[in-house]
Amino acid sequence: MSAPLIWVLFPLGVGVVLLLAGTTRGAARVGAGVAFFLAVLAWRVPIGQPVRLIGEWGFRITPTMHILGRQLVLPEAARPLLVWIYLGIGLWLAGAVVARMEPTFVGLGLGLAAMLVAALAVRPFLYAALIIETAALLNVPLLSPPGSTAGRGLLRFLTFQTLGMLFILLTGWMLVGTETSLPGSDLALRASVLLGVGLALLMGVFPFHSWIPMLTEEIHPYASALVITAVTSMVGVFGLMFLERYTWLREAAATYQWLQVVGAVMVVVGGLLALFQRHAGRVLGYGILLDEGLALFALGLGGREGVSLFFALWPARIAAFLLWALALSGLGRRRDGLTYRTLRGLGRSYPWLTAGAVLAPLAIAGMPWLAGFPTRMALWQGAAALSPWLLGALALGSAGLVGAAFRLLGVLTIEADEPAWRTQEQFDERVWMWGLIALVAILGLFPQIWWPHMTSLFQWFPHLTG
Amino acid sequence: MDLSWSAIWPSIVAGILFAVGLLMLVSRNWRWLLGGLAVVYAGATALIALSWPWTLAATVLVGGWMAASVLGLSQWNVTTEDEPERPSAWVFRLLAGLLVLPLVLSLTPMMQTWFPVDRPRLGASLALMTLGMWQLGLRGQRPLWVIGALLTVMAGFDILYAALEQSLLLAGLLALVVVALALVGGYLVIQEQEASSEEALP
Repeated sequence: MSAPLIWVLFPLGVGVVLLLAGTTRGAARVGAGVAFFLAVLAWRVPIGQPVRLIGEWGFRITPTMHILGRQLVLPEAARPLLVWIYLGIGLWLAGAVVARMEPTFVGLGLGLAAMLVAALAVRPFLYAALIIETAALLNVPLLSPPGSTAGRGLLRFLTFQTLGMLFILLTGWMLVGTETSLPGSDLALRASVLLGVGLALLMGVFPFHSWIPMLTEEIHPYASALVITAVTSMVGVFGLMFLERYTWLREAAATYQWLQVVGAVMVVVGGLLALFQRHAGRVLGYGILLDEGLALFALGLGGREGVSLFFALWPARIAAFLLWALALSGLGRRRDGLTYRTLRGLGRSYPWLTAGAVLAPLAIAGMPWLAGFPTRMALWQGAAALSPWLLGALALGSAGLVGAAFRLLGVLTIEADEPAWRTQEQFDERVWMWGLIALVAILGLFPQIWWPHMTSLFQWFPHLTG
Repeated sequence: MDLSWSAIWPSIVAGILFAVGLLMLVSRNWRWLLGGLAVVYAGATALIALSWPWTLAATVLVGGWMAASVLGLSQWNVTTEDEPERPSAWVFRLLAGLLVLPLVLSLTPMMQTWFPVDRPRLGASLALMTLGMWQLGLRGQRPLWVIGALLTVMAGFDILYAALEQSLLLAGLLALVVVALALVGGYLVIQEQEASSEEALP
């Protein structure tokens, strides 16, 4: 039995079967159950070491699987990543019932997770670009379910993913045999530019970010937030693999300077533009952009610290964006849209959904005692040590998102005739809001629970963090 | 200068590809777009066969023609006609497309220092990719045209990449991506038609 068979092919197969499911509830039970099972398995069972069951009986999960002449490799060091990927997707699939998603959402979501894990596991790792493109294409029905119409955001998403894949493939050809040294600075410059543009297109890095807020505006926030956060997180890890593999790229100071500047610019752009939106879905998109910027900035810090902080952003990302997307799904369903004009005064009837929609951006912005705070605090310290300008940029972006959150709060609660406060959420919505708000608070108040687990992920990148 | 047939036919194919790509950019008729795509993939296959065996190059042809067929099938029930456009619109697209020619001619020598590929193939590749990008920029709002443009870019990329990389699996996967793009395009086109026919209901 091999790790890729368990964490790639098995969930992929279950995802395909779940496409036939008749109800979201049934599909979510199975899909989330499988995802949680895989998360627990990754947490408890070592890869590559014998596991004793009863007496002399036992088994061993091998890290490698051969497929079509290539390899899928999930080493022992990847286990914490698998835990968080499947824990996150499990939560997201379980919440599909509350978000009132189509039954196919569950199968497609589980398939997306499996494909993205495959992208991280494939060797040679440049094939990951093709797998990410395939995952993006397969998820079109998730982003544009039957009965809806594809907007410009989806078309732009497809365009950028396809073009990004082409850039990465060209870079891969250019870099064959240059792992330890690169003859000539011209080739280094060309390869770095092609790689940078390719990853920027795939991740929606500024100035190729326009598809992110467009997607979250046009498409159901629950589906768009899942696809964008999953794809961009995995592309981020894919980018880390380049740094890990190519010594010349890893040891170039310019690499880290670019990451710091681009990350800071994305934080500023995401935070400030969120403040000036009139559509709650677009604010979510800019929130994702800000979080991505922080991830790039973390990598820009370099070494073990940078990689640890990059992964330490994940728990808050999973909890806060799930809360945000679920709250916006509930609010949008009540008024058939997420423009501020349609949402006006809705918070007085749906206070828990409102709390979720406001607390989540505050957590992403790094408000104290919420999930994002511990990592942001470390990032702000890192920025302060580098340059006051960088610290100012991060603070400005966070302030913008805080402003956007309070603006949304105002839109949702202020109404001319001031109707009485009531709670009209359905019971399952209320339970999910309570649970996720508690989770966002716990992650912020007790970072010692998850911090060591996330930061241990640097072991997967021994050269980068050595 | 070698003027033998074997030396000049790649240049002729590159010229045909540019002309067809230009026609796809200028025309508003989906039949021209899809017919053009079929010709583009046939031409691309001929150029790819300079680096790959014919049996392997045929994957590109099969993938491209399947993609054109899938998109064509999605257009089968189209009843709504696009609004007529001013002549200045297609004249603009023609001029924009013609700009690609001097761009490619001036860029090809420099790009040859980056990629060890002969001039006809590199020129054809750059021309198709640039024309596809133009198409994306000018018509990035309708699924059929966006997917058509992406397939044009992919055909151009295939010509270049085949000269650089000879992996059987990569060839297969790229052909698979082409077909998947077309399937997604077909899905989105049908959605668009359903939405427009619902709007047209009294």
